[in-house]
Amino acid sequence: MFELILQLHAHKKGTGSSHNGRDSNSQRMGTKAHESQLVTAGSIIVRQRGTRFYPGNNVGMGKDYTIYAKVEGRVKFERKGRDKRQISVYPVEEAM
Amino acid sequence: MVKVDIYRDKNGNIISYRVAGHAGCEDEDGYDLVCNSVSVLTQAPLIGMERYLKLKPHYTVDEESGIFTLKLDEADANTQAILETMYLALLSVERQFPQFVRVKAIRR
Repeated sequence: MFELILQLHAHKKGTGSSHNGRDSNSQRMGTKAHESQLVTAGSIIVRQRGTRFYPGNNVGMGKDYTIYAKVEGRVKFERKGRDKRQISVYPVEEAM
Repeated sequence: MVKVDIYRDKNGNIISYRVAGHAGCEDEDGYDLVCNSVSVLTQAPLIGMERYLKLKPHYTVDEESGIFTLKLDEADANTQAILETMYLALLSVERQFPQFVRVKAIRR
């Protein structure tokens, strides 16, 4: 017995236009230098949106929250208060 | 544009019809108001004839190209009541969506 085909005269099924399909370029966020890694002055340690990490000793934070080393030395990820983290760089002789 | 061709015999009875095309007036949700209307109006007679009148009209359905045809062996009061209702309803849809539906009656 015949059954109704409601979409028989609609656009060809499955080819309807979708409104998705757009995305922005990936911004390569994240940590660029790791615990105890030796970094040079000016090198970027972490790119982030907002302050996932706070600036500690011998580092600076750009207006886009990028944290970078101000001196050459080893990277240290430290706690900051109860639930925050900060990044510091200690010159090699200090870090021994 | 959905095209509906209604074929009448020399006595003016509707003996066959052909529905072809896509309505192409997809709205935001992708449901095609006119397509659904035409699909139901032109396929309902087949269901009525098969299940209520216990007839076996000849019909073809091609979902890919969106073509539906139906042909009667002979016309009688019951089938004409069903098909004339379809025809009048299609004319109503055509009046409201002339850009998407075209109904033509052809005398054979």
